[in-house]
Amino acid sequence: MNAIVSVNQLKKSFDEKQVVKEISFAVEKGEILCLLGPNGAGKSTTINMLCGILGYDGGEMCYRGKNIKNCLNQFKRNLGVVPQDLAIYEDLSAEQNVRFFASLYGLKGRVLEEKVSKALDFSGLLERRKDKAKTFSGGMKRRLNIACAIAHEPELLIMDEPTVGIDPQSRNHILGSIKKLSQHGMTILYTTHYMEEVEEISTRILIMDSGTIIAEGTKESLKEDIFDERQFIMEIEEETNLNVDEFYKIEGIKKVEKQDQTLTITTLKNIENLDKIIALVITSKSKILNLFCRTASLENVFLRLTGKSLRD
Amino acid sequence: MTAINLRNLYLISKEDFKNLFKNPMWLFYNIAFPFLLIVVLGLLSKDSYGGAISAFDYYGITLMIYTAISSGMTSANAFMEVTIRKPNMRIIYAPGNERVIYLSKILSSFLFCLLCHLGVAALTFTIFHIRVDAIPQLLILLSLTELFSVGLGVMFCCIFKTEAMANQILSIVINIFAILGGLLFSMDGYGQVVRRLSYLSPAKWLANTSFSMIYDHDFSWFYSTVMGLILAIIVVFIICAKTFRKEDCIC
Repeated sequence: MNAIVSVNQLKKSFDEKQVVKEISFAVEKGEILCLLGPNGAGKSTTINMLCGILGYDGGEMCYRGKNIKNCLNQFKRNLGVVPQDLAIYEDLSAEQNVRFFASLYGLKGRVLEEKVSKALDFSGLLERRKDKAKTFSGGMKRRLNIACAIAHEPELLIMDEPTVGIDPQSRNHILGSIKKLSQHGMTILYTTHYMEEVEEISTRILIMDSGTIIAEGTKESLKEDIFDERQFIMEIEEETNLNVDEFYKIEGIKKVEKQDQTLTITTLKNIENLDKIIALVITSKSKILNLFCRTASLENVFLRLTGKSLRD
Repeated sequence: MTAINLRNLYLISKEDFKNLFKNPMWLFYNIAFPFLLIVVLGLLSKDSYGGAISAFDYYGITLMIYTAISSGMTSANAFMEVTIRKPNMRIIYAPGNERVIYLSKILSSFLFCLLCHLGVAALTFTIFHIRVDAIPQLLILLSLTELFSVGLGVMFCCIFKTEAMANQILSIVINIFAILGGLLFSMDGYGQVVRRLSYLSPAKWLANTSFSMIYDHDFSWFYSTVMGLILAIIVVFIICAKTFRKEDCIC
């Protein structure tokens, strides 16, 4: 275990409502940990507590094994935050924004200028460095928001839904940037309610709902642990009528459905029976035109865990 | 305060100071508005005054006091205006004490307002030959009033959590102070009760102290007014410290 940050039994209430209920997790060095959950799950509250902007009612947060309260400035020096809102000065240029925020981390002189240029270059804003932020598109402002957070080269980058409300092109740029930052050794804690983003970038996932962490693991392990089934979907061309009941004689088969030319077979995941299924189709003088295997998506995982869709 | 806090206080104040000078609305409010107010009221009332004190002599002083006690509107805006509030979050993420946020807003607004108002005073006093005396004492009073007022603006933001609410209430408080203190028209002719009530306004004390020093060379009120202002500034700073919550910077 090489945890940069660990959170133990953290809780927070607003008035009478408990929004974070004694959650515990750790952020390991070099990973992209995605905190996935619907709106109101408690993701942003957790992030705000971790960033020091919100107090907490109980529990403990540690940075490299030390209580954050006892090493707050050391933690903050190694932390970059991309908040959900655009935290930039609209009347300043891209360069002035990045320079100002980076200077708050003690950077100055040539080192500061180098890091400002590097962050702007990374965010694809170097050519527009002199332009005021208010002249930027939504996607460019989002990228500037990221540049302001990474200029001081933090060890841990916390990103709170950084792609909300932007076009697909800018979203792809941001997701690509996150993967690059991870390759450069930065540890990333990323919150989102977009399943496809988690599928694309995560190395580990925490699923949060109603203030608690309901599942934790890699996307593969979550799917493995929660679903013991998979589906084979075949497009077939029949010469004689295929007897669907025959499939139930094969070990592991749970359900077989046939609609026009499409045969959907649900089977236990841990039983290797594809060769028998194919053999049965061929012996019944049918021709397989197409075959693919469908495994569970994170959306299915979430639905199974909570009984509701992520965007409900 | 540690070195990083002092450095961040300097950096944030500098940026806020520059931002205030880039905002045409606040430049108008702190330069053109008081200048026009002195010109208009001075011209309209010039026949009502005569002898040793002209209308410009009266309004030159009272409206500068009015302008100084209105500085809280500028600091409230610099602290919690919606476009400023979001970048404030990043300041909280940075190392150092989050209290530098409101301290830097007080410092930058204080310097901005003081510079603007000194410029207006220099201009109007020269153009309209407004009589001034005891300049060092007047500068001390002006500086302390500005500091009290910008602190009051930030204090209202800390209490009421939004710039809009803070400015609405601040504007009522300022105008009550101004009217009661006789800054726009003298309240002395409205009877004993009103005259006594007018002393509840700090504006009245400031006006009386200033006129006593300029026309009577009487400095007896000066020290008590200065002490009162320092006390008020301390109270405002304590309330800011007690009511400021970094959570309120979350948009």
